Amino acid sequence: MFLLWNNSIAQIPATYVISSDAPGLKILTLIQHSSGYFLAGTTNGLYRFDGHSFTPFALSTQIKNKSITAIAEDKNSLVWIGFQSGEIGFLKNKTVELLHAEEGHPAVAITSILADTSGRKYFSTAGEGIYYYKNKRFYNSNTDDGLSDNYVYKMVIEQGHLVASTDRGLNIIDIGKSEKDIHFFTSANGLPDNIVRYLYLKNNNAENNSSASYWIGMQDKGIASFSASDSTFSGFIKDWSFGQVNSLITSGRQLWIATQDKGIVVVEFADASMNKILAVKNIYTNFAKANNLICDDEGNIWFTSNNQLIKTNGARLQNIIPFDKKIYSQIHSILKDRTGNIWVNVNKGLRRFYFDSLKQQWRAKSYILSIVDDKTDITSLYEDKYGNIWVGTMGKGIIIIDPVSGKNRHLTEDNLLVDGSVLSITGKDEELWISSLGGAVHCNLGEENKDIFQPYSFINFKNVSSIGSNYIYSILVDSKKRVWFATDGRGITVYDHGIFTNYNQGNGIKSLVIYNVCEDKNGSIWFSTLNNGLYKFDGKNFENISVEQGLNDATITALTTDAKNNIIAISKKGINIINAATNSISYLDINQGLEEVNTDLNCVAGNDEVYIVGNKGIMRYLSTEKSLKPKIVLEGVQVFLNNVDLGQKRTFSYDENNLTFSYTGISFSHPDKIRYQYKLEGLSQEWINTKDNSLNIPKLPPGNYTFRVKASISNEFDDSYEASYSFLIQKPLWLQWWFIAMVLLALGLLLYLLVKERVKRIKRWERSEKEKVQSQFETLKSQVNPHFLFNSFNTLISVIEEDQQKAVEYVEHLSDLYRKIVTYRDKDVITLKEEIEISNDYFFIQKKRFGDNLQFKNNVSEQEQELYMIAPLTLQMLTENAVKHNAISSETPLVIEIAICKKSLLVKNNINAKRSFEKGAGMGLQNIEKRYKLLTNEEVTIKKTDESFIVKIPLLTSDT
Amino acid sequence: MKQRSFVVAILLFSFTSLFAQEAKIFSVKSGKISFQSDAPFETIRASSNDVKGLLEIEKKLFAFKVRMESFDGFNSSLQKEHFNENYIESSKFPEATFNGKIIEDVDLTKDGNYTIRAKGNFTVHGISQERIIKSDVAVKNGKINIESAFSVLLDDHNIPIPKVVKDKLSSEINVKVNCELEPR
Repeated sequence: MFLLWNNSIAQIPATYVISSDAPGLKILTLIQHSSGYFLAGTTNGLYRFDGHSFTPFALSTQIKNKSITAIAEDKNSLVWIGFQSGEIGFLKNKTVELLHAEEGHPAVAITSILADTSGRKYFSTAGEGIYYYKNKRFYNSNTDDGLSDNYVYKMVIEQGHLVASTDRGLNIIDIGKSEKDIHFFTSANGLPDNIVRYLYLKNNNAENNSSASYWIGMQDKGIASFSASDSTFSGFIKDWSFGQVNSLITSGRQLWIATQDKGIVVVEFADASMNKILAVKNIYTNFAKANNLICDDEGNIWFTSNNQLIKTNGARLQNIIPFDKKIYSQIHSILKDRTGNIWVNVNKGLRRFYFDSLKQQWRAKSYILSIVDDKTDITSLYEDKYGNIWVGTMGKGIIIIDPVSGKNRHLTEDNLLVDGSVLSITGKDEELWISSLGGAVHCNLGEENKDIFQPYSFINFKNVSSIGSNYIYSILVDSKKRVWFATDGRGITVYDHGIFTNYNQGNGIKSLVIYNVCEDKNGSIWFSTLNNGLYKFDGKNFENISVEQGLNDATITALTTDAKNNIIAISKKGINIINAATNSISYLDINQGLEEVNTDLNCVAGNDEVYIVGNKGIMRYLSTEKSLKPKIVLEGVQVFLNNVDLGQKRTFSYDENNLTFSYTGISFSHPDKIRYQYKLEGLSQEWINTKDNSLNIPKLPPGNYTFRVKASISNEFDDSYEASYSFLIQKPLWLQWWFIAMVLLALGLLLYLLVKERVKRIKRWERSEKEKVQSQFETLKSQVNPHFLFNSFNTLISVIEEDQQKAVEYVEHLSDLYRKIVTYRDKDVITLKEEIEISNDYFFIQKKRFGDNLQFKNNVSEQEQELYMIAPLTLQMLTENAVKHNAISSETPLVIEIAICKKSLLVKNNINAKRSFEKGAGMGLQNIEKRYKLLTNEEVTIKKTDESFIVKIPLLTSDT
Repeated sequence: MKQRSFVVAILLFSFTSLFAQEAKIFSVKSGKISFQSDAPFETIRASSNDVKGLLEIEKKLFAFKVRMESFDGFNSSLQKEHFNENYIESSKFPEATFNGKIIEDVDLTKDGNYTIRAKGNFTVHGISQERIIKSDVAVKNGKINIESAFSVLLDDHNIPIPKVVKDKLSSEINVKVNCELEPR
């Protein structure tokens, strides 16, 4: 009986299609950018792929053609783009711009682009050879320069040599010397096919480091390996039947080939040197025009087919031996022996799968074990140091098979076995341990045990209370030869130099049902529990790793380690791959085509390669250096929904304080598991978990901030990539120190001015008071002037003599005058009428003395007298002065005239100066002037001519 | 490379008459080459009508040359003297040449306007550089008109700029060519 590889059972790949209105859209070229994104050149422009979906880029209007045939990223992360039309562009600010070139652009399609470390770019064309772009100039090499053909498909640079594949052989250009130093290889030199469509640089391992070697993909003859140093071709596949090769990639020990008509061909080699072919497999045959094979940072291999982008697991997880579900449900144990055979239990017996390299097929050989009946389950398989296979059964003891002779031996309770029900068999070198429902059994293998029929020396650990339980799920012999017992309900027990130590809830272990134990490369012991995930014991502490830490299920049934120090933990939800050093977790599950995985205790075979039983066959997991850590890209920062140039602006004003950050985590393996953790330093020191890929923070107060964001596919972020953006929100104007200082200064100045003004006003008030007192004093003084009194009394005497009645009237006016002076002297202003009344009294008295020689002409109407105000005793003082200073006689009468002119009172008198001056002259006028200065801005003007003396007194209205 | 240029030159200049009828060789009937240096303090312009050139339209080979001393139009006669003696060294390197092959697969026997790129060796001051020069070609009534504009870096041709004239002489010279060719 043998099984063939069956293509129809190959894993269903994840397929992504560009949705576009453009009819017949095809993906022509594909790269992974250093930021993590895929960039896809299509017949409808450039697209970005983040693991979920495609987003188109804008195309400059200068670009006539939309068909993008080549993309490359240079050392400065600038993306170069080649078009079907021959045009060359680059990506800037999410727009494809046309390159300005004095030489013009090629006139035929760009087939590939290369950027070397010196900054030079190379463009291969479909008909014009190769263009070099350096120092902003284009140069060309074509058949005239020695190139074998102008139709160039692909270029690779290695060790100063540019290798270009063409329609007529391979060209090696020593660009270290000159772009024109060209050698070519055609069928005449052993090249199987002159049309070389693809070139792939081999990973140079230590032995052939001195010279570069390449995989080449040809039109009709498949693939070959080409060594540049000795110019030899090797590694062909005879009778290549898969047609035109479009693309090549290596992954581990596999070479993947995308073909035009037959999907993907995978060539598996015996080892990393890739010399000996083990198997050739044709998969994904339903995809036509397979092209653009790339391996992402996580180890997934992708290819394109027309408008589809297809994700495969690459070499990481493969269904190597497909079978149907009936077999799957029978399997309880799997073993990979040292010769590469895979053993499983099927149908009351064992099945050994071995690879027939001649026929390129896995074949199967069945071993019927007569002791095993319908009611007996095979629970475990183990290969001892002599290559004998131990088969543990439930109820029927152990069967040891010598795979060379095919003979077997049955061991039961009689042969010192504690119990016929075996749960697991493990060991290390000569140590062998059997766990059963009746305790543990130790066996020390001696030389004689090469022969399975020689006696074995068993030691029973039955009812050893120190282990804690007779019911032991599994046993591990670690690198220090300590023995670990996973018990059912009693925690984990270690046996070290004759001493048993039990760890249980006292050590923080929440679940005491332990299923499985393994040891990582650092010597930490990992064990799985029922319902409480995993525990990692570093010799001191027990660290719990469960759902909260990202484990896909709390119950892990099978556990092993891989070659890259990962812990492989199987649950019903799939496989957890835990980095033993960082505890970061990634997964293999339905995303990788793993629909269902066998969760029996012994259904994992570990170490270098890990074999798992899936519902569609035996899956092989190859550990890879590549991590499944998602990349994170800060897409943009917006202020009030306006985009900010990330490279430029880092300082915002106080009112630009509504910020939106958008970011994308890129996981190609688990795009749906992406979650984020962010922190805005300056606002909070706490990391916040979210599933949103954008964050809006309104009303940020001024300050220095750093936005940090991480992406993860589990809850663990410690080991994640991070993107960050630092920025400053400025304080508003009024919180800037200089503004505050300025305002304080201004306030101080204002206060100073106010105080100064106040002081001035007080001083003025004081002065006005003084002037007023002075004026009163002057008036009183003049009125009690002895001359005035003397003259008045003399006049009175004469009046009494003439007419007693008039004398009474005279005295009345005199007293009236004094009463008014006394009444008004305290007031600031009085009405003009009141003032004129004083003067009338005065004139009445003086008229008795001077008669008609003294005349007072009042030209002010009654209305005006009521309307205007005047400082008290102003007019009185002026008239008094006039009387005082002028000689008054019939020849020279004194005429005093008052009138109103332009809101001023004019007081006019003719001059007939006395020869002798009375004392106090000028005091009155000065007093008037000073008083008016305090009352109004209008000035008192004094005009003196030869004939007359005019004083103009500004009048005040009652509202001023 | 040198050998090939030599072959082109021989083919075009020596034996052209032998193939004239079949090979469809065109030669320059009238042509003008002008150059301009735009420096911050001075703009220098000069041109020459002494352009010789041949174009074989089947193999798309070409060869052009201009005598350096024929350039005229400098800002002063002293400048022209300096150009010939100090910079170009016209007595040692009397000509500038450009010969090579047209990259595009165009049929210049048919009337029409074409944009072509001429790839060849451009030699000035005795220093040869491979260049691609984009040109507009108009074919009409058996005549070919070629127009092109390109730049020449003095550094590429080992023409040093003394510090004194740094602001008067640009390191990049813009060249314009306009030629009319007729069958030989």
